[in-house]
Amino acid sequence: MSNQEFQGGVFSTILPGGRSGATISFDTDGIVARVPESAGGNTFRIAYGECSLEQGGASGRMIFCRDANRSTTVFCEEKNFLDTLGVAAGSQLWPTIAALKSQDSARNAGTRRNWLIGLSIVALLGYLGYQGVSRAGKAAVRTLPISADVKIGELAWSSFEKHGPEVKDTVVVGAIQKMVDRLKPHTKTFDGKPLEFRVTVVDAPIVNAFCLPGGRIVVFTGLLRKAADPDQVAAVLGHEMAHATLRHGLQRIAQSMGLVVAVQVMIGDIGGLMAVVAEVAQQGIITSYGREQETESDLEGLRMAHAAGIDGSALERFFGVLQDEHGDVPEVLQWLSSHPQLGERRAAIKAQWAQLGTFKAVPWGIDWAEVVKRAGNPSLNADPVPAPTGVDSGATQADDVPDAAAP
Amino acid sequence: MQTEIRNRPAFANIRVLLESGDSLIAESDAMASMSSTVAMKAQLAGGFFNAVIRRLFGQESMFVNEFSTYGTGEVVLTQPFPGDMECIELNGNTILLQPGAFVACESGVKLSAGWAGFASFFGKEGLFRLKASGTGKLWFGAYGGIFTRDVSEELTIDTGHLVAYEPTLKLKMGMAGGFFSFIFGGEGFVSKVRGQGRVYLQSRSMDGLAAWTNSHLY
Repeated sequence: MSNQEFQGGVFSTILPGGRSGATISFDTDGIVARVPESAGGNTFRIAYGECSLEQGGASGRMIFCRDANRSTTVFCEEKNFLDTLGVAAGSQLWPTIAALKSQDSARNAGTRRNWLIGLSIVALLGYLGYQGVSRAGKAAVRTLPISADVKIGELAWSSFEKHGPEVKDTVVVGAIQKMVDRLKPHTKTFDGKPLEFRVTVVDAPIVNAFCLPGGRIVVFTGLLRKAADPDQVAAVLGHEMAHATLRHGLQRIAQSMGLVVAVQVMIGDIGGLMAVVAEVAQQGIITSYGREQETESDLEGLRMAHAAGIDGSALERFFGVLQDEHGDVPEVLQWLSSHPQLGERRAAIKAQWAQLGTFKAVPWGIDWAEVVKRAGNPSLNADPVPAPTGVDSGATQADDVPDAAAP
Repeated sequence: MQTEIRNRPAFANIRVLLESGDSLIAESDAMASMSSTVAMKAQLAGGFFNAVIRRLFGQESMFVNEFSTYGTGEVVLTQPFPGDMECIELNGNTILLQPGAFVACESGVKLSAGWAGFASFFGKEGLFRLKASGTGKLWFGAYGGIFTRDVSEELTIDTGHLVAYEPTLKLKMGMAGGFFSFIFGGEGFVSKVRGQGRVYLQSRSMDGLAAWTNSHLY
């Protein structure tokens, strides 16, 4: 006999309305159900020997105990009801209870399997949806003329926080321009026409550079001071220029803003697209690329460097410096990172560079020590860049400049 | 507390006379009028999680209103669509309400969200349903008239007509007839209720009204 009580109910013709909630307990001979005083206060008893058990109800886990003539049914859904009943009734009900528990286990296994299948289907649909949007974005971008990239890039540039004054020093800017000029003939665009790359050097301690859609290249003096030689900067520039020639910025917009933008792009709604761009530029989406796009740009940048007589393996060395300083994301979080890991990238760059074969290095003719020196003290030659309306030009931390640590 | 359902069945509303110490929980936006002596306080329906589930899947508000008074006062409660209302007294038992059916209850009734299953979802009966248990009066409403059926084996119900049912019943989705009837019979999916217990049904279906209205719009 158990002193434990359970909350359940009773169906009986003698009850008003034929049913009531009940408190259920077990004595030596049978199941006892007491209904509340508000429902008459009756007590019902079903002897263990007369009790037939069933399982069902809305949840599938409710236990029904019916008397021999089925005029009284006691039911309960609480978790330990069946086990407690089994202990109280002993051998009289145990075979039935064992069979119900076995059915329950089988049903639970089936439920788990169905959930697993359901979740797998949802995950698969999510993946296919993502791939669909991604492909739709790429396909939509291909239909746009390159002039759209230029417009979007300039709009984004006007929305960016500049983080510092523009450097006008001809030695510094000239060195960057020389690198871009060397790489430019080896760029490949979808329509075969080279982009008009425009160089802006910004005095800020940010180890970074980026190239906006349409070809505006922004280099921070922090990058120049960190790089050991011109090859490292040129390799970074090649990587960034590849983002523009591969049109990753537009693809990011289409992917991030979904199919609506893809459709806007496809139907040529440039005005509507501009409104979207103005919105996403503030969020840094245009230059915040995914793993696949970073890898693609690494490879394209290396190809351009190889063709231009630039030591592209300098990119691997530059990443080595960054890795020594910042390290990689902990292994358990790697899959969350939008960028490939630096160690991973360095290995891939090494392998790709070796695959490209021997190349003929063309000397730069740049006094790199002088460039670094002037980049370290550009204020003598700098013109302040007026901050766009609503943008704080006094900030020094690159929190909205994408690619801040790894180009 | 004295209660009365008036203007049945088409435009049912509940008139509640509260006395000091009485408390009534009602669906958000159910109040049509109340005396100046009655205080109304909004609260999350059955805790945060239940409230979110109610809102996301139950077509109900996250909040319910609690009415009380220090003297005496009247509250009139209604529902957004024309139809009847039903009052049942819970004596420790439980009733499951379809999304949108709940109107009001006494404070002894506990409200929570219960998983209805994917079959219910695909049968357009909702992924969750409201579970009302405890002690006290519970009012729920329907579009059209309300009628009950005591099920002992199985009952077939067209989707959109189920309002409430006891948890002793198992709800499954199925086709009304064969495949041909499913396509051309106009019934599509139906709910098959199995077990022993009572179901509350509405004589009209909101989906039916929507389909009929749509067919006359163009």
